[in-house]
Amino acid sequence: MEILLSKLLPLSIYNELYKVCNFDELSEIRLRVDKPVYHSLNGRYRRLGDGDTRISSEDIGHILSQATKSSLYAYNTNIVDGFISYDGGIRIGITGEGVIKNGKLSAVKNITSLCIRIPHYIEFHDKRIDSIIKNFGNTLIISKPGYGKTTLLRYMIKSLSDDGYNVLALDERGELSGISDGKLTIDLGECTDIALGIPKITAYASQVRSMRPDIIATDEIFGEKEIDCIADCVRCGVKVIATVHSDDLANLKRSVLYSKLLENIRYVVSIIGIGNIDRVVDLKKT
Amino acid sequence: MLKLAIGGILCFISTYLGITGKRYYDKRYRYLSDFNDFLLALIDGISYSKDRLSEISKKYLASTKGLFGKNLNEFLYLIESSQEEDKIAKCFDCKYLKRADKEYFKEFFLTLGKLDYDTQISRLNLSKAEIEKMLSKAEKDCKSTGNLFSKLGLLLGIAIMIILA
Repeated sequence: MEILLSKLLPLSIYNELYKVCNFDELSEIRLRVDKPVYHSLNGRYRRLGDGDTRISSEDIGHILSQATKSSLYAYNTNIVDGFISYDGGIRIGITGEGVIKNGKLSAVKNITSLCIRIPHYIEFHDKRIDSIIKNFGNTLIISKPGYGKTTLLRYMIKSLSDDGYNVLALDERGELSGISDGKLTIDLGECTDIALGIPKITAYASQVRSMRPDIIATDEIFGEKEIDCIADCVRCGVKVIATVHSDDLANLKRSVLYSKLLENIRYVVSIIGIGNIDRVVDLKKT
Repeated sequence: MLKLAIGGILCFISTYLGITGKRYYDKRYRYLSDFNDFLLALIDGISYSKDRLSEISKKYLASTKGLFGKNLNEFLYLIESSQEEDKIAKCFDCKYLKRADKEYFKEFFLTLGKLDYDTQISRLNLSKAEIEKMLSKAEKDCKSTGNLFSKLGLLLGIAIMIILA
Protein backbone atom coordinates (compact mmCIF):
# COMPACT_ATOMS: atom_id res chain seq x y z
CA MET A 1 0.00 0.00 0.00
CA GLU A 2 2.88 2.33 0.81
CA ILE A 3 4.31 1.89 -2.67
CA LEU A 4 0.94 2.59 -4.29
CA LEU A 5 0.46 5.72 -2.21
CA SER A 6 3.97 6.93 -2.99
CA LYS A 7 3.09 6.70 -6.68
CA LEU A 8 -0.33 8.27 -6.30
CA LEU A 9 0.40 11.21 -4.02
CA PRO A 10 2.61 14.24 -4.69
CA LEU A 11 5.96 13.68 -2.97
CA SER A 12 5.47 16.47 -0.40
CA ILE A 13 2.19 14.99 0.86
CA TYR A 14 3.53 11.44 0.86
CA ASN A 15 6.56 12.52 2.89
CA GLU A 16 4.35 14.27 5.47
CA LEU A 17 2.17 11.16 5.76
CA TYR A 18 5.21 8.91 6.05
CA LYS A 19 6.44 10.96 9.00
CA VAL A 20 3.26 10.77 11.03
CA CYS A 21 1.27 7.65 10.28
CA ASN A 22 1.27 3.91 10.21
CA PHE A 23 -0.03 2.98 6.76
CA ASP A 24 -1.76 -0.11 8.19
CA GLU A 25 -4.07 2.14 10.18
CA LEU A 26 -4.61 4.77 7.50
CA SER A 27 -8.11 4.54 6.10
CA GLU A 28 -8.74 7.85 4.37
CA ILE A 29 -6.99 10.94 3.03
CA ARG A 30 -9.01 14.05 2.26
CA LEU A 31 -7.65 16.69 -0.07
CA ARG A 32 -9.30 20.02 -0.85
CA VAL A 33 -7.85 22.83 -2.97
CA ASP A 34 -6.25 25.58 -0.83
CA LYS A 35 -6.95 23.64 2.35
CA PRO A 36 -4.76 21.45 4.58
CA VAL A 37 -4.73 17.67 4.17
CA TYR A 38 -6.74 15.56 6.59
CA HIS A 39 -6.20 11.87 7.16
CA SER A 40 -8.15 9.29 9.05
CA LEU A 41 -6.53 6.77 11.37
CA ASN A 42 -9.00 4.27 12.79
CA GLY A 43 -11.92 6.54 11.87
CA ARG A 44 -10.48 9.66 13.53
CA TYR A 45 -9.63 12.61 11.32
CA ARG A 46 -6.44 14.55 11.89
CA ARG A 47 -4.85 17.46 10.10
CA LEU A 48 -1.63 16.48 8.40
CA GLY A 49 1.47 18.18 9.79
CA ASP A 50 1.08 21.70 11.17
CA GLY A 51 -1.47 22.62 8.52
CA ASP A 52 1.07 24.46 6.35
CA THR A 53 0.82 21.87 3.60
CA ARG A 54 -1.95 23.26 1.41
CA ILE A 55 -3.33 21.47 -1.59
CA SER A 56 -3.00 23.13 -4.99
CA SER A 57 -5.00 22.35 -8.10
CA GLU A 58 -1.72 20.97 -9.54
CA ASP A 59 -1.61 18.43 -6.68
CA ILE A 60 -5.16 17.34 -7.50
CA GLY A 61 -4.14 17.14 -11.18
CA HIS A 62 -1.14 14.99 -10.28
CA ILE A 63 -3.27 12.51 -8.32
CA LEU A 64 -5.89 12.32 -11.07
CA SER A 65 -3.20 11.83 -13.68
CA GLN A 66 -1.66 8.97 -11.73
CA ALA A 67 -5.02 7.40 -10.89
CA THR A 68 -6.21 7.52 -14.50
CA LYS A 69 -2.78 6.63 -15.92
CA SER A 70 -2.78 9.96 -17.74
CA SER A 71 -6.05 9.12 -19.48
CA LEU A 72 -8.72 11.12 -17.68
CA TYR A 73 -11.05 10.91 -20.71
CA ALA A 74 -11.22 7.10 -20.31
CA TYR A 75 -12.66 7.49 -16.81
CA ASN A 76 -15.42 9.94 -17.69
CA THR A 77 -18.25 7.61 -16.65
CA ASN A 78 -16.57 6.84 -13.32
CA ILE A 79 -15.95 10.52 -12.64
CA VAL A 80 -19.59 11.32 -13.37
CA ASP A 81 -20.48 8.57 -10.88
CA GLY A 82 -18.21 10.32 -8.37
CA PHE A 83 -15.21 8.05 -8.02
CA ILE A 84 -12.19 6.43 -9.65
CA SER A 85 -10.87 3.02 -8.64
CA TYR A 86 -7.10 2.93 -8.37
CA ASP A 87 -4.76 -0.04 -7.99
CA GLY A 88 -4.96 -2.13 -4.84
CA GLY A 89 -8.64 -1.35 -4.23
CA ILE A 90 -7.95 2.30 -3.43
CA ARG A 91 -11.04 4.34 -4.25
CA ILE A 92 -10.86 8.03 -4.98
CA GLY A 93 -14.06 10.01 -4.42
CA ILE A 94 -14.25 13.11 -6.59
CA THR A 95 -16.20 16.32 -6.55
CA GLY A 96 -15.98 19.57 -8.46
CA GLU A 97 -17.99 21.57 -10.95
CA GLY A 98 -20.60 19.59 -12.84
CA VAL A 99 -21.11 19.95 -16.59
CA ILE A 100 -24.73 19.38 -17.57
CA LYS A 101 -25.58 18.25 -21.09
CA ASN A 102 -29.14 17.46 -22.19
CA GLY A 103 -30.26 17.66 -18.58
CA LYS A 104 -27.74 15.07 -17.42
CA LEU A 105 -24.38 15.33 -15.68
CA SER A 106 -21.90 14.67 -18.50
CA ALA A 107 -18.58 15.57 -16.87
CA VAL A 108 -17.00 17.04 -13.77
CA LYS A 109 -14.48 19.80 -14.34
CA ASN A 110 -12.37 21.94 -12.00
CA ILE A 111 -12.11 19.10 -9.51
CA THR A 112 -11.58 20.62 -6.08
CA SER A 113 -11.91 17.76 -3.60
CA LEU A 114 -10.68 14.20 -3.41
CA CYS A 115 -11.39 11.56 -0.80
CA ILE A 116 -8.88 8.71 -1.04
CA ARG A 117 -10.10 5.56 0.70
CA ILE A 118 -7.56 2.88 1.48
CA PRO A 119 -8.70 -0.74 1.78
CA HIS A 120 -7.49 -3.09 4.49
CA TYR A 121 -7.48 -6.78 5.06
CA ILE A 122 -7.48 -7.75 8.71
CA GLU A 123 -7.89 -11.16 10.35
CA PHE A 124 -10.62 -10.83 12.97
CA HIS A 125 -9.87 -13.14 15.87
CA ASP A 126 -13.27 -12.81 17.45
CA LYS A 127 -15.33 -15.75 18.67
CA ARG A 128 -18.59 -13.96 17.83
CA ILE A 129 -17.57 -13.64 14.18
CA ASP A 130 -16.31 -17.25 14.09
CA SER A 131 -19.68 -18.35 15.44
CA ILE A 132 -21.58 -16.45 12.68
CA ILE A 133 -19.33 -18.04 10.04
CA LYS A 134 -19.87 -21.55 11.46
CA ASN A 135 -23.62 -21.15 11.63
CA PHE A 136 -24.19 -18.62 8.90
CA GLY A 137 -27.33 -16.55 8.72
CA ASN A 138 -28.07 -13.29 6.90
CA THR A 139 -25.71 -10.73 8.39
CA LEU A 140 -25.71 -6.95 8.42
CA ILE A 141 -22.58 -5.03 9.40
CA ILE A 142 -23.22 -1.49 10.65
CA SER A 143 -21.04 1.43 11.65
CA LYS A 144 -20.34 5.05 10.90
CA PRO A 145 -18.40 5.72 7.66
CA GLY A 146 -14.69 4.89 7.86
CA TYR A 147 -14.99 2.54 10.84
CA GLY A 148 -14.17 -0.66 8.97
CA LYS A 149 -17.39 -2.21 7.69
CA THR A 150 -15.82 -3.13 4.37
CA THR A 151 -12.76 -4.57 6.14
CA LEU A 152 -14.94 -6.94 8.18
CA LEU A 153 -17.03 -7.75 5.10
CA ARG A 154 -13.86 -8.78 3.22
CA TYR A 155 -12.76 -11.00 6.11
CA MET A 156 -16.16 -12.67 6.33
CA ILE A 157 -16.34 -13.20 2.54
CA LYS A 158 -12.94 -14.90 2.58
CA SER A 159 -13.74 -17.03 5.63
CA LEU A 160 -17.11 -18.15 4.24
CA SER A 161 -15.58 -18.79 0.84
CA ASP A 162 -12.74 -20.85 2.30
CA ASP A 163 -15.37 -22.84 4.20
CA GLY A 164 -16.79 -23.92 0.84
CA TYR A 165 -19.67 -21.49 0.34
CA ASN A 166 -20.02 -20.07 -3.16
CA VAL A 167 -19.94 -16.37 -2.44
CA LEU A 168 -20.90 -13.80 -5.02
CA ALA A 169 -19.33 -10.44 -4.19
CA LEU A 170 -21.15 -7.53 -5.81
CA ASP A 171 -18.26 -5.15 -6.29
CA GLU A 172 -19.71 -2.29 -8.29
CA ARG A 173 -16.86 0.09 -7.49
CA GLY A 174 -13.90 -2.28 -7.36
CA GLU A 175 -13.46 -1.50 -3.68
CA LEU A 176 -14.09 -4.96 -2.22
CA SER A 177 -11.74 -6.96 -4.41
CA GLY A 178 -9.30 -4.25 -5.38
CA ILE A 179 -9.21 -5.58 -8.93
CA SER A 180 -7.05 -3.41 -11.13
CA ASP A 181 -6.43 -4.11 -14.82
CA GLY A 182 -8.00 -7.53 -14.33
CA LYS A 183 -5.61 -8.48 -11.52
CA LEU A 184 -6.83 -9.34 -8.02
CA THR A 185 -5.06 -7.44 -5.29
CA ILE A 186 -7.14 -8.61 -2.31
CA ASP A 187 -7.77 -12.31 -1.76
CA LEU A 188 -11.48 -12.90 -1.19
CA GLY A 189 -11.24 -16.68 -0.94
CA GLU A 190 -11.26 -19.76 -3.10
CA CYS A 191 -14.99 -19.92 -3.85
CA THR A 192 -15.72 -16.24 -4.40
CA ASP A 193 -17.03 -14.90 -7.69
CA ILE A 194 -16.65 -11.18 -8.18
CA ALA A 195 -19.20 -9.18 -10.17
CA LEU A 196 -16.97 -6.20 -10.84
CA GLY A 197 -18.32 -2.92 -12.13
CA ILE A 198 -21.82 -4.31 -12.69
CA PRO A 199 -24.52 -2.04 -11.25
CA LYS A 200 -25.79 -3.82 -8.14
CA ILE A 201 -29.47 -3.70 -9.07
CA THR A 202 -28.66 -5.43 -12.40
CA ALA A 203 -26.32 -7.90 -10.69
CA TYR A 204 -28.93 -9.08 -8.18
CA ALA A 205 -31.15 -10.28 -11.01
CA SER A 206 -28.67 -11.46 -13.66
CA GLN A 207 -25.76 -12.78 -11.61
CA VAL A 208 -27.90 -14.62 -9.06
CA ARG A 209 -29.41 -16.63 -11.91
CA SER A 210 -26.19 -17.20 -13.79
CA MET A 211 -23.75 -17.81 -10.92
CA ARG A 212 -26.10 -19.57 -8.47
CA PRO A 213 -24.40 -18.34 -5.28
CA ASP A 214 -24.97 -19.63 -1.75
CA ILE A 215 -24.25 -16.20 -0.33
CA ILE A 216 -24.35 -12.72 -1.82
CA ALA A 217 -22.01 -10.14 -0.34
CA THR A 218 -22.65 -6.48 -0.92
CA ASP A 219 -21.17 -3.28 0.46
CA GLU A 220 -23.09 -0.15 1.42
CA ILE A 221 -26.74 -0.94 0.81
CA PHE A 222 -28.53 2.16 -0.34
CA GLY A 223 -32.16 2.79 -1.18
CA GLU A 224 -35.42 0.92 -1.44
CA LYS A 225 -34.66 -0.83 -4.73
CA GLU A 226 -31.66 -2.61 -3.29
CA ILE A 227 -33.54 -3.62 -0.16
CA ASP A 228 -36.27 -5.12 -2.38
CA CYS A 229 -33.61 -7.01 -4.38
CA ILE A 230 -32.16 -8.42 -1.15
CA ALA A 231 -35.62 -9.52 -0.03
CA ASP A 232 -36.04 -11.30 -3.40
CA CYS A 233 -32.67 -13.07 -3.01
CA VAL A 234 -33.53 -14.23 0.52
CA ARG A 235 -36.89 -15.49 -0.74
CA CYS A 236 -34.97 -17.51 -3.38
CA GLY A 237 -32.88 -19.14 -0.63
CA VAL A 238 -29.70 -17.15 -1.17
CA LYS A 239 -28.11 -15.85 2.01
CA VAL A 240 -26.88 -12.30 2.31
CA ILE A 241 -24.05 -10.49 4.01
CA ALA A 242 -24.13 -6.73 3.68
CA THR A 243 -23.02 -3.45 5.19
CA VAL A 244 -24.92 -0.26 5.84
CA HIS A 245 -24.02 3.16 7.24
CA SER A 246 -25.60 3.55 10.64
CA ASP A 247 -24.34 4.49 14.07
CA ASP A 248 -26.83 2.38 15.97
CA LEU A 249 -29.16 -0.61 15.52
CA ALA A 250 -31.97 1.28 17.25
CA ASN A 251 -31.80 3.99 14.58
CA LEU A 252 -32.02 1.37 11.86
CA LYS A 253 -35.07 -0.16 13.51
CA ARG A 254 -36.75 3.25 13.62
CA SER A 255 -36.25 3.77 9.87
CA VAL A 256 -39.21 2.51 7.81
CA LEU A 257 -36.88 1.53 4.97
CA TYR A 258 -34.26 -0.31 7.00
CA SER A 259 -36.70 -1.98 9.36
CA LYS A 260 -37.94 -3.72 6.20
CA LEU A 261 -34.36 -4.89 5.57
CA LEU A 262 -33.97 -6.10 9.16
CA GLU A 263 -36.91 -8.47 8.66
CA ASN A 264 -34.55 -10.58 6.52
CA ILE A 265 -31.49 -10.26 8.73
CA ARG A 266 -30.41 -12.57 11.52
CA TYR A 267 -27.14 -11.11 12.81
CA VAL A 268 -26.29 -7.43 13.18
CA VAL A 269 -22.63 -6.68 13.82
CA SER A 270 -21.77 -3.15 14.91
CA ILE A 271 -18.24 -1.81 14.65
CA ILE A 272 -16.56 1.03 16.51
CA GLY A 273 -13.23 1.17 14.67
CA ILE A 274 -11.12 -0.80 12.19
CA GLY A 275 -10.83 -4.33 13.60
CA ASN A 276 -12.87 -3.33 16.65
CA ILE A 277 -16.26 -5.06 17.00
CA ASP A 278 -18.68 -3.51 19.46
CA ARG A 279 -21.51 -6.02 19.61
CA VAL A 280 -23.17 -8.83 17.72
CA VAL A 281 -26.93 -9.08 17.99
CA ASP A 282 -28.85 -12.21 17.02
CA LEU A 283 -32.20 -10.78 15.98
CA LYS A 284 -33.83 -14.21 16.31
CA LYS A 285 -33.08 -14.17 20.03
CA THR A 286 -34.21 -10.62 20.69
CA MET B 1 47.87 20.78 -57.45
CA LEU B 2 47.46 22.28 -53.98
CA LYS B 3 44.80 24.69 -55.30
CA LEU B 4 42.93 21.77 -56.81
CA ALA B 5 43.04 19.85 -53.53
CA ILE B 6 41.85 22.90 -51.52
CA GLY B 7 39.14 23.53 -54.15
CA GLY B 8 38.02 19.92 -53.80
CA ILE B 9 37.83 20.13 -50.02
CA LEU B 10 35.91 23.42 -50.10
CA CYS B 11 33.57 22.02 -52.76
CA PHE B 12 32.93 18.98 -50.53
CA ILE B 13 32.27 21.18 -47.47
CA SER B 14 29.92 23.46 -49.38
CA THR B 15 27.97 20.53 -50.84
CA TYR B 16 27.83 18.86 -47.41
CA LEU B 17 26.43 22.05 -45.84
CA GLY B 18 23.81 22.26 -48.60
CA ILE B 19 22.77 18.64 -48.04
CA THR B 20 22.67 19.21 -44.25
CA GLY B 21 20.32 22.16 -44.83
CA LYS B 22 18.07 19.95 -46.97
CA ARG B 23 18.20 17.16 -44.40
CA TYR B 24 17.01 19.59 -41.70
CA TYR B 25 13.85 20.30 -43.68
CA ASP B 26 13.36 16.60 -44.50
CA LYS B 27 13.67 15.63 -40.83
CA ARG B 28 11.40 18.42 -39.71
CA TYR B 29 8.78 17.19 -42.16
CA ARG B 30 9.23 13.58 -40.99
CA TYR B 31 8.92 14.62 -37.34
CA LEU B 32 5.71 16.55 -37.94
CA SER B 33 4.37 13.77 -40.13
CA ASP B 34 5.00 11.20 -37.35
CA PHE B 35 3.26 13.49 -34.89
CA ASN B 36 0.32 13.74 -37.27
CA ASP B 37 0.11 9.92 -37.45
CA PHE B 38 0.18 9.75 -33.66
CA LEU B 39 -2.56 12.36 -33.46
CA LEU B 40 -4.75 10.32 -35.81
CA ALA B 41 -4.09 7.21 -33.71
CA LEU B 42 -5.13 9.18 -30.60
CA ILE B 43 -8.37 10.41 -32.17
CA ASP B 44 -9.14 6.89 -33.36
CA GLY B 45 -8.30 5.15 -30.07
CA ILE B 46 -10.01 7.67 -27.81
CA SER B 47 -13.18 8.31 -29.76
CA TYR B 48 -13.98 4.69 -30.61
CA SER B 49 -12.83 2.68 -27.63
CA LYS B 50 -11.62 5.19 -25.00
CA ASP B 51 -8.28 3.36 -24.92
CA ARG B 52 -5.74 4.59 -22.42
CA LEU B 53 -2.91 6.81 -23.60
CA SER B 54 -0.31 4.11 -22.90
CA GLU B 55 -2.23 1.52 -24.97
CA ILE B 56 -2.62 3.85 -27.95
CA SER B 57 1.03 4.90 -27.75
CA LYS B 58 2.31 1.33 -27.53
CA LYS B 59 0.35 0.35 -30.63
CA TYR B 60 1.65 3.41 -32.45
CA LEU B 61 5.25 2.86 -31.37
CA ALA B 62 5.17 -0.75 -32.56
CA SER B 63 4.78 0.47 -36.12
CA THR B 64 7.14 3.42 -36.18
CA LYS B 65 10.76 4.39 -35.72
CA GLY B 66 12.45 7.76 -35.66
CA LEU B 67 13.06 10.70 -33.42
CA PHE B 68 9.40 11.43 -32.64
CA GLY B 69 8.90 7.84 -31.48
CA LYS B 70 11.96 8.12 -29.26
CA ASN B 71 10.69 11.37 -27.71
CA LEU B 72 7.24 9.85 -27.23
CA ASN B 73 8.76 6.87 -25.43
CA GLU B 74 10.58 9.23 -23.10
CA PHE B 75 7.33 11.16 -22.49
CA LEU B 76 5.48 7.94 -21.61
CA TYR B 77 8.19 6.93 -19.17
CA LEU B 78 8.04 10.32 -17.46
CA ILE B 79 4.26 10.46 -17.07
CA GLU B 80 4.26 6.97 -15.60
CA SER B 81 7.07 7.67 -13.18
CA SER B 82 7.49 11.23 -12.05
CA GLN B 83 4.85 13.50 -13.59
CA GLU B 84 7.42 16.32 -13.36
CA GLU B 85 6.14 18.98 -15.73
CA ASP B 86 9.58 20.54 -16.34
CA LYS B 87 10.98 17.26 -17.60
CA ILE B 88 7.84 16.43 -19.61
CA ALA B 89 7.99 19.87 -21.25
CA LYS B 90 11.53 19.12 -22.44
CA CYS B 91 10.68 15.75 -24.01
CA PHE B 92 9.83 17.29 -27.35
CA ASP B 93 12.55 19.93 -27.32
CA CYS B 94 13.70 18.68 -30.71
CA LYS B 95 16.27 20.53 -32.85
CA TYR B 96 14.10 20.18 -35.96
CA LEU B 97 11.27 22.17 -34.43
CA LYS B 98 10.99 25.95 -34.47
CA ARG B 99 10.42 27.85 -31.23
CA ALA B 100 6.68 28.24 -31.91
CA ASP B 101 6.39 24.51 -32.72
CA LYS B 102 8.16 23.65 -29.47
CA GLU B 103 5.69 25.75 -27.48
CA TYR B 104 2.84 24.05 -29.31
CA PHE B 105 4.18 20.55 -28.57
CA LYS B 106 4.81 21.45 -24.94
CA GLU B 107 1.25 22.63 -24.40
CA PHE B 108 -0.20 19.69 -26.31
CA PHE B 109 1.62 17.03 -24.31
CA LEU B 110 1.21 18.76 -20.94
CA THR B 111 -2.57 18.68 -21.31
CA LEU B 112 -2.83 15.31 -23.07
CA GLY B 113 -4.85 12.87 -20.96
CA LYS B 114 -5.80 15.52 -18.42
CA LEU B 115 -9.09 16.55 -19.96
CA ASP B 116 -12.53 15.00 -19.83
CA TYR B 117 -13.70 12.99 -22.84
CA ASP B 118 -15.58 15.72 -24.75
CA THR B 119 -12.92 18.37 -24.20
CA GLN B 120 -10.12 15.94 -25.11
CA ILE B 121 -11.78 14.99 -28.39
CA SER B 122 -12.46 18.61 -29.41
CA ARG B 123 -8.89 19.51 -28.45
CA LEU B 124 -7.50 16.71 -30.61
CA ASN B 125 -9.65 17.72 -33.55
CA LEU B 126 -8.43 21.31 -33.24
CA SER B 127 -4.85 20.05 -33.10
CA LYS B 128 -5.48 17.94 -36.19
CA ALA B 129 -6.47 21.04 -38.16
CA GLU B 130 -3.41 22.93 -36.88
CA ILE B 131 -0.93 20.14 -37.53
CA GLU B 132 -2.26 19.73 -41.07
CA LYS B 133 -1.37 23.38 -41.72
CA MET B 134 2.07 22.95 -40.13
CA LEU B 135 2.66 19.80 -42.13
CA SER B 136 1.67 21.35 -45.43
CA LYS B 137 4.01 24.30 -44.77
CA ALA B 138 6.82 21.93 -43.77
CA GLU B 139 6.30 19.97 -47.02
CA LYS B 140 6.51 23.16 -49.07
CA ASP B 141 9.64 24.25 -47.18
CA CYS B 142 11.13 20.83 -47.74
CA LYS B 143 10.55 21.00 -51.49
CA SER B 144 11.49 24.63 -52.06
CA THR B 145 13.98 25.74 -49.36
CA GLY B 146 15.47 22.29 -48.76
CA ASN B 147 16.15 21.67 -52.45
CA LEU B 148 17.45 25.22 -52.81
CA PHE B 149 20.00 24.60 -50.04
CA SER B 150 21.33 21.42 -51.61
CA LYS B 151 21.57 22.96 -55.10
CA LEU B 152 23.18 26.17 -53.78
CA GLY B 153 25.71 24.14 -51.81
CA LEU B 154 26.68 22.14 -54.89
CA LEU B 155 26.83 25.23 -57.17
CA LEU B 156 28.89 27.17 -54.65
CA GLY B 157 31.28 24.25 -54.39
CA ILE B 158 31.68 24.04 -58.18
CA ALA B 159 32.17 27.85 -58.35
CA ILE B 160 34.92 27.66 -55.71
CA MET B 161 36.63 24.90 -57.68
CA ILE B 162 36.48 26.93 -60.93
CA ILE B 163 37.81 30.10 -59.22
CA LEU B 164 40.67 28.24 -57.59
CA ALA B 165 41.51 26.35 -60.77
